[in-house]
Amino acid sequence: MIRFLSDYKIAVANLKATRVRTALTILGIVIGVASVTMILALGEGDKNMVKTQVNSLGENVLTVRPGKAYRDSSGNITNYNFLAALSASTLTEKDLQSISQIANVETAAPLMLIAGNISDTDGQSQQGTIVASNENAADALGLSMRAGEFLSADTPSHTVVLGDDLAVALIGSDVAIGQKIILRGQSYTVSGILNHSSSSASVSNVFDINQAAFISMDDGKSFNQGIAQIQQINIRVADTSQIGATAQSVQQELLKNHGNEEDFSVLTPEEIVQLTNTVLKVVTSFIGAVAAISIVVGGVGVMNIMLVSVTERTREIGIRKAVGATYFQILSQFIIEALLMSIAGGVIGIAIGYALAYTAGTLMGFMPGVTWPIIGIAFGISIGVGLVFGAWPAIKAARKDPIEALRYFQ
Amino acid sequence: MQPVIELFGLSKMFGVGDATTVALDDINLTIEKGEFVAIMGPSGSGKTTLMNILGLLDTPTHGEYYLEGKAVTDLSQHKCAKLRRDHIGMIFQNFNLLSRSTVIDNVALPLTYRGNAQAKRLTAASKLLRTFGLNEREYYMPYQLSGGQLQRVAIARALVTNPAIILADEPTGNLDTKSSEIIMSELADIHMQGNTIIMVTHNPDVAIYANRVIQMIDGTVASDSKHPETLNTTGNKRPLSSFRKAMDAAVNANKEFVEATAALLPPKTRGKRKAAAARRKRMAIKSRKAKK
Ligand SMILES: Nc1ncnc2c1ncn2[C@@H]1O[C@H](COP(=O)(O)OP(=O)(O)O)[C@@H](O)[C@H]1O
Ligand SMILES: [Mg+2]
Repeated sequence: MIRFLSDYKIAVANLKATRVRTALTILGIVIGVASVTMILALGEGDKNMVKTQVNSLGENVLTVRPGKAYRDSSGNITNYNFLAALSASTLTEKDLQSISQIANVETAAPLMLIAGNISDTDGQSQQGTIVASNENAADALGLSMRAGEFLSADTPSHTVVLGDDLAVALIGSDVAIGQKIILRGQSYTVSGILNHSSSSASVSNVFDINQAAFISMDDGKSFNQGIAQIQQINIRVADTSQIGATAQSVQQELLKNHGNEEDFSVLTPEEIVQLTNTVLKVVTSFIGAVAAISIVVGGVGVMNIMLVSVTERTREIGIRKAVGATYFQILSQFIIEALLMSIAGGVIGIAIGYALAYTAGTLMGFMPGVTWPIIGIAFGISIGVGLVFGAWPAIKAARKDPIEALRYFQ
Repeated sequence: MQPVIELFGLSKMFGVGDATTVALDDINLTIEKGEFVAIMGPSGSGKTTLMNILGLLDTPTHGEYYLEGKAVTDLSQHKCAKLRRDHIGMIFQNFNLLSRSTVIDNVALPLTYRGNAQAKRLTAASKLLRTFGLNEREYYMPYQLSGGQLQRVAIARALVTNPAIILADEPTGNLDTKSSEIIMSELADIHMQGNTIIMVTHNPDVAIYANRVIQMIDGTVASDSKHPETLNTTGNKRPLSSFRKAMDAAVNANKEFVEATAALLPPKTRGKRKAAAARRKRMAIKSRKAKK
């Protein structure tokens, strides 16, 4: 311990003597550790976000979408271009029927997206999406009413329920029950208005609930030559513990309906949430590459500076050896010096990494995760860099022949 | 009593093949505790090589070295470092102080490698510096001191571990006459306190402080004269004139030897005298080996 403390003091003194050089070397480590910290914090934040979204979505929700999701051997989705499959969806009312009859299925809500103009009675068009569904949609999407009622089995035809942004845009107020609006040239009566909803993961990427106009399936089909072309089916299961088995049953039933052609996917809540977070994946893999490269570059910087330092201090090493420093005492002196730089870089890097993660998180709309394991890993990396890249210069110093070293002139 | 240093058939060769230099050639030497030995001889005669081996910084090619009765020629580097730290104090011509450490830290350095606590190190260093009249300069940096002061700091560093032998390679070589005198009287004092000192010097005025003078020529001990009266006595700093005479004789013998060898060679090759001498040595060693 005494030895370590004096080695530490020697190292600090030497680093101080070459301030600028030390600072620049530390900067290299800072960049590396900051990117590692950032990527880990963002990843952790992403995990947290997935968790909360899965929670708000409900762990008992299965989603059926058109198009095949390709999975790897462990079941993770590797490739799924569902947006491309949306416009040519193969999901039908028959599929909905089959799903409803599966034992563990409590409710099933179809979502049929209809292209078309939404306007007020004066003909003023508004941005929005027409969505045909059934009475289960409110439950499946977690919708609540600000006023009026949602669609039900005995709602008369040409009735619409509006998302609150769309209601305000069309009618100028969110108390508009009984008012008329125009969907694709036909007059609809507003029967209910939804509370503002933070976009449910089950439909994010697809449409904005707050700008949606919900109508019945029959009305929807009338816009599509009587054919139901369903883009998504939201299933709620009764027994969450059986959700895996239920997903398989759904898969089998639909395969039967589709003549064994897998042109659809049954997705778990986690999969749905992950599909919405692809941006982050790109960002994190980019930062990951930056992190790996800059850690190595930072380490090489430490090694380079330490090698220069060992050469410059050849005479000092000779003196220390002449008065009795052992191989390991010289070795530890230089290792400690490299470690001090990498640890200092690590501490600063962790702080900067979190600052950057918060900035990036704010831009992407979620909080990065601060956990001890992340700090531990980042700190561990900085120690590892010091040890690995400080080892060779330190060995070189410790191996110096004292006579040669004493003869060395700067 | 156990001699501090015993050397048996010690040789040191540098280089390989035709480029071999014989720096030390079959040295046999015993140094008793409490001696103050001056090693003299022309440059290139192997004095520094001998000091390096005595200081365990270098190992001999042949022969045995016993330090305080212990064979040290085949020890590991690690053990050598520890012996160096605990039993040997070194003083160099160019002081060899750490330029970025304070005076007191320099003196305490060997104790650092012993693992002593800072308080203990600094107390010991401070005490020594006081005896050298440098207590006011404890926290000065080396560049703020004169050459004589620097050498006193280096001597304090050599003494701080209370070593069995003190090795000084031309300690006054970089100093003016006055500083040299001060340093030599310090060394004489240290000797009076019972320390064993081995010192290399060119200067006969410096050598008179010693009580034994070893003359080296071409890697061999050419003469070895002990002062009959000051040996193993205390209180008499100045050597007797008879000793001085013996020493002068040794110096002159050396000079004559050099001149004689020079005269033997044609003028052109005079510069290569040393190489020629080395070649002679090599042949001698070869033939000796052949006999064995
Ligand atoms: N590292 C070395 N490599 C080759 N030759 C050396 C080395 N060190 C010393 N020598 C040679 O050994 C001989 C003795 O050198 P040295 O001990 O330094 O002499 P001194 O100190 O008496 O002047 C010289 O001829 C010198 O050139
Ligand atoms: Mg020399």
